[in-house]
Amino acid sequence: MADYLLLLLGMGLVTYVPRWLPLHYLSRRSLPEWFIQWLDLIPPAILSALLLPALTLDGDTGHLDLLRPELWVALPTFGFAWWTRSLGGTVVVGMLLFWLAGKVSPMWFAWL
Amino acid sequence: MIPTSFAVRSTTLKEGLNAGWPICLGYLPIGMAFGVLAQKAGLTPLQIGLMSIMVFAGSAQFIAVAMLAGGIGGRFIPEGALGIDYALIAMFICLLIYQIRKLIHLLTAVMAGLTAVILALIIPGNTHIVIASIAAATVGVMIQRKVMRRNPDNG
Repeated sequence: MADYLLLLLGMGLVTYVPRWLPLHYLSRRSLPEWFIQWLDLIPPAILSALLLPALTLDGDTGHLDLLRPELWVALPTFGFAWWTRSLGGTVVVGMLLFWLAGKVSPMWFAWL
Repeated sequence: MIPTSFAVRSTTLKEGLNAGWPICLGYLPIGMAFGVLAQKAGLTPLQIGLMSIMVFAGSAQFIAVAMLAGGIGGRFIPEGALGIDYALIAMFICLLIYQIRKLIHLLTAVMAGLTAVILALIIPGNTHIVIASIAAATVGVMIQRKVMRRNPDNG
């Protein structure tokens, strides 16, 4: 247990300090305008860079797969988020649609 | 302390709770998945709770549990029922929507996403996320400044 607590302390430090340091130092300093513009674009860039590969690449093989339910469920989920701006609602709707997508068999669309 | 400070603090607390609850909801399934996995890996409920209190991270906890369970490295993504796998993705979708306030945000997001997909196909690991984000934000600032110089009124 002592070893484990030491491990948690270490994990706590390396996950907390990098979050706290920039917040602490940058919040009381005036930054150049281009840097503020750059920082303003980082959140949409990171979120999109995290999301799009997760939606379009197969988790096991890493190959491009545009037929994944993750990608198709994302479209109505994006729409729901855009119109409602509700985080809680989007999470619930996304989970529900993904669960439903898992129930739908591709064979149902064989007649198409 | 001025007499109004309690009222001010109480409204601040309320605003914080209002802003925070959806994120808690978004993390609830992930927290449950983490609890199940950590217990399977041999941690006691006390140890699991302590980690969630002391460690300010989500993925790092899953990695730690995977490493404690013996297999160092390797991906450890829980398979869940009821669309649990999609909770974090849906949360990111909504957070991304929140970030799209102007055309330049949309443009940067599209550039970052496409670059990340292409890079992920070429380079192993997770570096594609950082490289694509920095590149897209940099190009985004360059575009923004060019447009602003041309017509400073509608930047």
